Amino acid sequence: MSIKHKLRITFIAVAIVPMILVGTMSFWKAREALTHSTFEGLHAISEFKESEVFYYIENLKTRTMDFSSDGLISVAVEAFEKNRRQNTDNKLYDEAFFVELLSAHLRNKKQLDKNLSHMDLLSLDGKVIASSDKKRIGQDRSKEKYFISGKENIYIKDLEINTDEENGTSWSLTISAPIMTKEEPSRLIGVIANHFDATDLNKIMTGQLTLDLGALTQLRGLGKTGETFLVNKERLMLNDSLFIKDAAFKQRVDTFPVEKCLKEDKEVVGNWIDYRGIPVAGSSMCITLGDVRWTLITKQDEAEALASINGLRNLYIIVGTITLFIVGLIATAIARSISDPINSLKKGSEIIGNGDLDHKVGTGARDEVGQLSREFDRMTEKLKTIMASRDELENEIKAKEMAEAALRTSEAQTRTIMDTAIDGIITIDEHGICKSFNQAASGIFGYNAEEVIGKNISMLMPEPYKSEHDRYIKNYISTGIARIVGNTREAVGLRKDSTTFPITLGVSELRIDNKILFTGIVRDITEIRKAEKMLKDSQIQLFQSEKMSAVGTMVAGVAHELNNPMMGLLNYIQYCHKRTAEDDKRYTVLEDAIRETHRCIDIVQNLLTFARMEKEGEEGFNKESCAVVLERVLKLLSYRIGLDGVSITHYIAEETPEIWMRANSIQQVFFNLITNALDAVAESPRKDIHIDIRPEGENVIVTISDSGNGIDQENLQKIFEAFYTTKPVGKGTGLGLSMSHSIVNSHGGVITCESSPEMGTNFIIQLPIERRKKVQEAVSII
Amino acid sequence: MGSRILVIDDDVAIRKSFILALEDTEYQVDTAESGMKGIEMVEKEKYALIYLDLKMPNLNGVETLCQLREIDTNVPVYIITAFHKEFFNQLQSAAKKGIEFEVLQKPIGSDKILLVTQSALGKTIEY
Repeated sequence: MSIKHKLRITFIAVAIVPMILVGTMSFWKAREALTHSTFEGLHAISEFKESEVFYYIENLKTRTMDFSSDGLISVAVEAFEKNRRQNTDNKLYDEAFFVELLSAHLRNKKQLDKNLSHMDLLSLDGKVIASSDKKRIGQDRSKEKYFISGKENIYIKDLEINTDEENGTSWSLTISAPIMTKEEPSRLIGVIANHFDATDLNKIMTGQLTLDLGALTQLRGLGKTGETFLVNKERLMLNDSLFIKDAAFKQRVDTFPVEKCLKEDKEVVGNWIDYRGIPVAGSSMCITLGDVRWTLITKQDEAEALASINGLRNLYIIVGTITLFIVGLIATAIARSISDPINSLKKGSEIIGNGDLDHKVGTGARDEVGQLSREFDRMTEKLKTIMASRDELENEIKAKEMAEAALRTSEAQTRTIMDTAIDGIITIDEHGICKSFNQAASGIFGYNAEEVIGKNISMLMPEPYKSEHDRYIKNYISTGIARIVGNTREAVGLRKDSTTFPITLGVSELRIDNKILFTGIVRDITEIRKAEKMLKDSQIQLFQSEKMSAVGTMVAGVAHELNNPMMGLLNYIQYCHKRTAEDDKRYTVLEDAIRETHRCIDIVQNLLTFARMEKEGEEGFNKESCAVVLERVLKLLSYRIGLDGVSITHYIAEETPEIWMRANSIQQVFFNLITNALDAVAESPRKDIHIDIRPEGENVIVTISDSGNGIDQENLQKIFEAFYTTKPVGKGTGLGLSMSHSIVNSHGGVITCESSPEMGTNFIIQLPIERRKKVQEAVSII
Repeated sequence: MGSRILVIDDDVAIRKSFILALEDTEYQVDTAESGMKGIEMVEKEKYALIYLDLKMPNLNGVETLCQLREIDTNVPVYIITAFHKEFFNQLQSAAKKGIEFEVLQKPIGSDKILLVTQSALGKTIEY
């Protein structure tokens, strides 16, 4: 519940509750008092009325008493009685005289009191002996109660109502009293019965007549509904009713106070339902006058009696409501005046809470809320500064975190770079202690990082570098002269397995926080060295071969030039030799000349071949069929074959592909080998030569087998050597096989020889089908 | 009846070699010192074998060969050469055209000359 409501409720409660309490209690008290005074009033009226009634009755009683003690009456009656007792003869007096006398007296007396209707004098036998009304004389009243009781004492007969045409409605009350002798001893001589007109009584009751009772004045009025009346013991209303016409002696009133009076002789002040059935408030008095038992009731309609109270209550309610309303307004106003500043403070703090630290809630009010609001503002200011510094701090932290993250990333990157670097990266401090050792370094030196980090780096160096190293560092640090640092130089490394290897080492220096670190980049240059050497070698070779090529070109040129003269020479000498007798001295010499000429030719051939091979390299090659080449060779040699009676067979596998070759060179090879085979079988009994050509993997295998006597094992190794020949002088130059050998090599193939005396000789040529780099043996030909 | 052999070479040593080598045979050896000359002679005579040099001035061997073939498609032609590269390609293209020839490497001695000649001309021996 909000403060406003709380305040409102509190205020209203505080204002209203006491008010209600006090008001209600006052109301009750007032009602009580009012009721009380109303009843008091009613009671007072009852009492007053009662006293009026008593007074009235007393008056009549006194009158009657007076009359009963009237001298004349008593003497007269006494005399009358005496007379009566006398004989009629001795009558002193005339009875009629007495009657007349008395009646006249009574008439006189009656005139004295206007209330009197009749006065009757009753003899001891109850007969009316005298009356103010002649007509009544002689009537017998002996049975009347008032006569009987009147003989002893004063007796009041209950009120009666008469209605006649003459006089209308009249009330009468009879009071009787005994008449006693004047002389002693007193004895009863008669009864006087006064018949009073009690109309005044009705008037008294109805307020038409008010007896002057001295100090007592008319009390507070009975209002509109108030009435007083008498009820006799027959429960009949004795006088006029305010509400009911001709109620006297007709209206039965057996209400509560009447019963209370008649049964218990108790007076009532309170509320009851009256004879009309309407709730009334009233007061009753019980009047007992001998046999007369009257209930005097003063009542007022409850509504009217309590009208003032109700009015008071209504007033109370109206005033209360108005007050409540006013109080409510005031309460609300005050509550608002308190809660509104608080509310605005709350709203302001909400705004501030949502982040707007510039919002001000301060008011100028001097009360506590105002002070609070100003304090609030101060607090907000402080908060702003704190937030600002917190933001700053947060930013700093964020920046720091980012920096750290960046650092971590860069560290990770660096580590990754270091670890993925191909070169070894080693860092050491100024004492030569290893601080970091990357993956590549591990690979180069064969140590794990843990094995090196923390130890002196010289463990990776063989002597003399090891001892020099510390000196280098010291020198550098003290002199600043870089021998190593900033340069890359070559050194020797020492692997874990104690092998040494060439390295390049580049050292740089870095300073962090006044500490010196050296970073070394290490590269294992073993392979580089090897490659360098190979390059140098091949450079030399290339140079050589270029030289050779140059030479070769020259040589080729020369050789070509020599070819023709050589041919001429050869043929000329052969011609002469053919026509020289064997026993001629010139014969052998000519043979020598032929042999030497052959030698020259071969040399020139080889030169040409060599030159051509070096020069042409891969050129001149084509895909050719071995079978075709073989056929040509066989055709060339066909005459000799037939002449020698050699059986040449060949098998060429159908699937044999064409191979990458220089057809002429291969032709030369075949020519050479088949010629050799022919020579080999020339001296053997079996003359079989078989040529086998078939593919095998990436090669084609050409096998030339002869059934000759074979080659000795020790010669087998030399056969491909240049100038090696078993042929007689003039027959061969010994260059054929070596030429064939280099030709086959230049094709990237291999030529081998198997031989045994039983089997004969097989020359196996393996030639690659596709291009292949020639086997590096160019240099060894010559 | 001796078959006629023609030797076309610009070098006298080569021509003479052939003459000397085939002197004692039944064959008749004619020589021509140029391609042109050779063609003229082929036009006139029928030859059973022609030896032809590659490297000749003016009309070189390959061209000579082509023209020879136009005259006589059947006569075996042996190209004697030191396998000079320049002519090799031409030879190849000639071969591709379907011009038949044989190749013979020089220098070649008299015994070889005999061998080849007999082979080319002689009784085709079954082997």
